[in-house]
Amino acid sequence: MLQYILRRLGMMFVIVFGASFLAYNLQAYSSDPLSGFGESTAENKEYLILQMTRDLQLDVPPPIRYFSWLRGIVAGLWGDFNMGLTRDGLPVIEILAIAIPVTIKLVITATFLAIVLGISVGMITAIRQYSRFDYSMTFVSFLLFSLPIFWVAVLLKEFMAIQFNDFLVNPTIPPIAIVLYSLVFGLVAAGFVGGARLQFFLVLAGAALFAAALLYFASATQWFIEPSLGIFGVGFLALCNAAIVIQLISGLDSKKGRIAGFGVALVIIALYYPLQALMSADASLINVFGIFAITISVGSAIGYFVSTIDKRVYLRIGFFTALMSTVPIIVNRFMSEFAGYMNSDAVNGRPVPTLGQRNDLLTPEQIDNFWISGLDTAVHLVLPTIALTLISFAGYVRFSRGSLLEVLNMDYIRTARAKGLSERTVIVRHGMRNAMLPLTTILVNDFAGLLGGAIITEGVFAWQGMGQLFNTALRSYDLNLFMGVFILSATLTVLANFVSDLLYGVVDPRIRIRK
Amino acid sequence: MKRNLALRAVATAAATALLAGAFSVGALNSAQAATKTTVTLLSAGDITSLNPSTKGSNTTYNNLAASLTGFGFTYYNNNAELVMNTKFGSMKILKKAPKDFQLQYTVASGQTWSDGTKIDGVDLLLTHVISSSKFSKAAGLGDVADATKKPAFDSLGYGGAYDDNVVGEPKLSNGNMTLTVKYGKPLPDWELLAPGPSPVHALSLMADGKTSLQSASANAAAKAKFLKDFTSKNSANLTKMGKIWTSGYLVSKVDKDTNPLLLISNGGFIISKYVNKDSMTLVRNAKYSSGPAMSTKNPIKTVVIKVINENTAQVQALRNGDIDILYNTNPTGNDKIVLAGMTNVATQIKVGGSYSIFHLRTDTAFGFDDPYTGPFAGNSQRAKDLRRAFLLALPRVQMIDTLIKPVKADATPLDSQFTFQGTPAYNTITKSSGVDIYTKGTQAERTAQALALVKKYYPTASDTVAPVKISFLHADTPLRNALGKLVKAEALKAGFDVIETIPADMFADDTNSKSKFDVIMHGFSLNSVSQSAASDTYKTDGGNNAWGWSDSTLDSILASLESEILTPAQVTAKRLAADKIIMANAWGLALYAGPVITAYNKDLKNIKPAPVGNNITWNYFEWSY
Repeated sequence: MLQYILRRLGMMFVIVFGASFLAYNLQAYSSDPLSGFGESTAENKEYLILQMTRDLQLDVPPPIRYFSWLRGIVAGLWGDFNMGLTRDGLPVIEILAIAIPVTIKLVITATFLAIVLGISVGMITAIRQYSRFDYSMTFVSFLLFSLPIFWVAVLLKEFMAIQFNDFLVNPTIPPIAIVLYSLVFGLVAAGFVGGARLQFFLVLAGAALFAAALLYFASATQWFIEPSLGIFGVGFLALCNAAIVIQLISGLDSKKGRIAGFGVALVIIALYYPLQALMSADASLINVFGIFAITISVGSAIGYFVSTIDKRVYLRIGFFTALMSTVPIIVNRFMSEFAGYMNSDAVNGRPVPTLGQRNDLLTPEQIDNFWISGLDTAVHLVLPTIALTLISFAGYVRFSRGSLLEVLNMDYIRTARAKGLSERTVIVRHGMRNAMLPLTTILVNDFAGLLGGAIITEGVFAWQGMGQLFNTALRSYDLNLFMGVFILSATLTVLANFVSDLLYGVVDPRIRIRK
Repeated sequence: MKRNLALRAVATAAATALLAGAFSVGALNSAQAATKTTVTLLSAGDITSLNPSTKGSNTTYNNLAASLTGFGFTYYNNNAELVMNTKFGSMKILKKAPKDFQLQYTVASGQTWSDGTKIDGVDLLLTHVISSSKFSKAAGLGDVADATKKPAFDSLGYGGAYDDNVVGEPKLSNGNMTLTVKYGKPLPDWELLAPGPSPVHALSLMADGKTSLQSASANAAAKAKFLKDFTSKNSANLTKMGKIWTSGYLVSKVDKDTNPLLLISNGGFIISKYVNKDSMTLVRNAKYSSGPAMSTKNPIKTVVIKVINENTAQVQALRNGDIDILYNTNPTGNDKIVLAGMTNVATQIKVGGSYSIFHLRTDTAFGFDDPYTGPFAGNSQRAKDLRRAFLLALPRVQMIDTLIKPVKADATPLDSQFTFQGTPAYNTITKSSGVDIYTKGTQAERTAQALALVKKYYPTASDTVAPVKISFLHADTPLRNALGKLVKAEALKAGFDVIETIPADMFADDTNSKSKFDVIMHGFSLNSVSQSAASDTYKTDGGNNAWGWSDSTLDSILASLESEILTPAQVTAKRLAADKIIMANAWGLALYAGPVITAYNKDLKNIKPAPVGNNITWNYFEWSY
């Protein structure tokens, strides 16, 4: 095993070295940093050309120049790491240090959402193969798959930022719009639930009515300018979360499961008011972690003591119900700052921005307030996160659908059914788990790809992350910067491949690394 | 089914709760934000340095911030006139002899830097340090001519008109408020050479390792120290300052840990926050006294510069109020329609500081060996006739009508290489420069004349047979490509087979300079209005003369524009003579002055875009809501 790891590491080293040599030379030969001077009318053009030739060592042939760059990287071994300077004269490493967190912030939520949504939708479509829901999701995922992100971004900005902000001036929804939106929501919900024709129409009507009531309520109370969940909203969501968690882990048939799940939800509701004390204006991220720590430990404890046997099952129910039900409480707290945020000088009544990662006009007091600055980050993340999620969601849907379908046709699934296991157990325990195996590879690689950035998304939403850096480096012939981004993403990709190979051996008992 | 019912019961209960109005809804806060006091500017490229005189890949964008944080002797207004900023000081010609040209700059008293230090003539000396290669060599700061080594002050300023002509060191007088600079010959554009102020005390303090604002006495001492180091050419101390000047201002961010000495300003604003490639926030400089007074009614208190590279994103940001001003130097008709449709935005369409022009090749470009042998080569009658024929066949009116008028409805073809429409000189020059042979009659008539000229040398030519192959170079932009198609179509009728060469990079070595084009269509943009402008483009072996033009009379006209201080009437007469030579040789023809769209938050008052200089920010002191 150790030998295998060492051999792989050695190969990785060779690959990264070779790739970086190639990339360096391709980029160096394909661009001419001096070309910009062709149309320069500066009087001292010749001096400027000499200056640049000197600074960028343009008189040294690229293959040799590569090694002076490599020396800085290798020097990292004795703590003298140096990625060189950008053409602007700033250390590449400093620029990367600014860009990496930006990219992570931008991409991580979207990737997480895309994975969770994509895999769940994909698995549901597999379970309901050839149903209305399956067909419609297949249609939707192919549609999203083929949409260019810059176009999605333009539409999102138009409808979810510009028009929404205009709407906020007078947030009343006209009755005709209420009817329309409710019907659409009803259709989606009915498609999701499926079933016979009667059930389809029942769900459609129920969901549409529910949505219409919500929209009417939001419109009548100007909810959009002063959004809040309140204890009832939080309670409702907590109970829903509990239902989902119970169904997935023990099934709603299990009495103890119901006691654990709904019990935890009720306790969280009871904790709603006491927890507000922890969320004062001078709170910080630590308080948020504190709240999660409290609810999760209470939830886990309840789950643990519900039963004397199978403790792990109910502990998991308690844990996940608490985790998911605490989120609305936190969200509700952020919402309470919305009206003040929206009417502040910096925001000027238009809370959803079309681009940027923060509002540069916020006052120092607003920035110091965890809730307001968190809200600011959130509104800036809304559009790019939706865009990225929509685009990458489709791939996961298709992949997990295919994977689960394959597993469900296996002999051991038939065996599981034959020995009388409930359909829920067959699918959750035996189906989904095995279907996740091939997904590990793409998941690990996707997370490694995160740092490469999303060039187009960052561009259209003006987030100055790794993707934009790469783009800038290419356009301005900034070789050191280019190599900085390149070496980072190359190393991560190679590492991720390695890790996913190792993980495969761990999660799938059939695969063992040859001695 | 039972489970579903249970779930549904929960849902129904919750929905009823919602309907009962149980969501906590507070009293509506109808207080709309008070009058806005902030402006968000757009930067289409990255801001890379707090010091725009060091090398950075894009000084235009660094200058945007600099225009808000610094004020000197002059600025350009929206009529492209150089305005003397009397609040800062005044300048005059002290002596004007053929070999002794002295300029005197007097700093107005009562001004301070943002840290309270008095501004005086010492603050002007740094310009000499960063521009004079002689001083650099004499003070042991590095020989600028030796390109293998960096000078201590690694500035963009060496090798320009100041460096070439300055004699000795500038001298202070009048209690250090007046500076006298001597040049070896009279300089026509002397007003543009005014030294800019720099907080030299801050440089001196930082060279001593200080990282916080100092007391008034320490500041005064630091300034005195700089003056002493300057006068005595103290190499060690100046080198230390050079290091700060060259790399100290290169920061990837500005926050509360940034050395405040780096941010000292004498403009209306001072930098408070900055993230490389992302955004910069500037707040009012309470001690601003170096320029026209700020508007008293609802002035701007905070300016943000936001970097947005992507075009559509910029437009949508303006619509949503994420930025307040958009300055588009390359607008299309569609841009205009989109911007005009925005209810929250006002637009102004003006001529900017750029113009598009055709240059015909006559000879090998300066500095290159490959001989040029195309149809336009040389000065024979044949070459002249073919050149004239090509220019006659340029459908300039059609080009303007189809592609420029959708942006600026009153656009007309530009008829002079040296002046723009709307100036008195333009009318004088175009009346008698000989351009009228390209404006007389209809395009069909002109194309017919062109065909007749071509037929003299290529008898087979007709409006369907095109024996003259022409390589036509232009940039790869939608506008240029569309213009190119029109040129190609019309030239075909005059016997020219135009082959478009559209390189990704217009000025890469292998396309432009090595004799691979017969005609080029391109744009020039001006960053100042000067008497000697365009000299390099037209004189024999000029640095920008990539078309090989050479004419001794033209050279002498350009030389006198470069070296004599002339009255406006004299300049016009010289430019007319120059245009006449270009027309007589059929060397080239101008096309149009590029329109610019400025679109901005309609509540913002006094936005007056200027064609040259600081296009948007030149009059920030007048801005208000």
